[in-house]
Amino acid sequence: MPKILIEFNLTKMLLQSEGIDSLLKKSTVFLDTNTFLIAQENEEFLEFLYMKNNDDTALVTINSVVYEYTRGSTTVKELQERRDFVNGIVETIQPINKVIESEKNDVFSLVMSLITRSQDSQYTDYILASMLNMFRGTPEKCYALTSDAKAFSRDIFNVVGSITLDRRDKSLTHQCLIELDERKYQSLIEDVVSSK
Amino acid sequence: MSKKTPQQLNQYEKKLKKQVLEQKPKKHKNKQAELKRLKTLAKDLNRVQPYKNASSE
Repeated sequence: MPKILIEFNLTKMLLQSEGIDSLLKKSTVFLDTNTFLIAQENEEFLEFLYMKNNDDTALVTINSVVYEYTRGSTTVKELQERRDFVNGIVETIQPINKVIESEKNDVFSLVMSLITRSQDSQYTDYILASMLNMFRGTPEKCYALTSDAKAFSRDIFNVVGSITLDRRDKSLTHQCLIELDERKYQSLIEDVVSSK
Repeated sequence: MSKKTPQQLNQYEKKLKKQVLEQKPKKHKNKQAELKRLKTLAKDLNRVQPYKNASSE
């Protein structure tokens, strides 16, 4: 069980699981839609993300997340502002076409179909998972950051860290740092192919 | 609504693209100033409407 370090803030509470700074160092982190929603509400979390992206962590996202975050905008001005907010936090919006159409993703998508329950996962979650898969087998550290940990099956994903924050409605939310586990993935494929 | 030619519709698309996708980033070079700008932007976005379209959580 990871130890929890507590930092009390006068207006918001922020808990980080131990070692999260070390994990984030020199890594690429894909941000989910809920991350931007919470950053919009929680100033401390916004600052945390901003400082990380300006240090040695590359915060990125995908167009599907940008769409989800900006939908519901009632004016062009609001749309521009939401996109501006996203661009202020991330280093880049990663193109997905080559990833989704790649040979490496062909088998991965089959595995995702087998392990994902439809009620737990949206298409955006699948794309985020595919982006993590692109880094699989490389020495580069890559994670997804999301409150929707259940969309990433423990069959092949691990929650390696978390940040607990309070929201405007005073509820708590956990932003989970998720990685794709190479060993679990290989083991699962072996089981799947053996059992048919 | 009056009928528009494909060229006229294309012009509107180009205009929207220019307004949104080809906007010059408003980032400050100074990190603290940029962080302050983002915090202000967040407050403005929170004021616009309670957010209804969150993805699943």
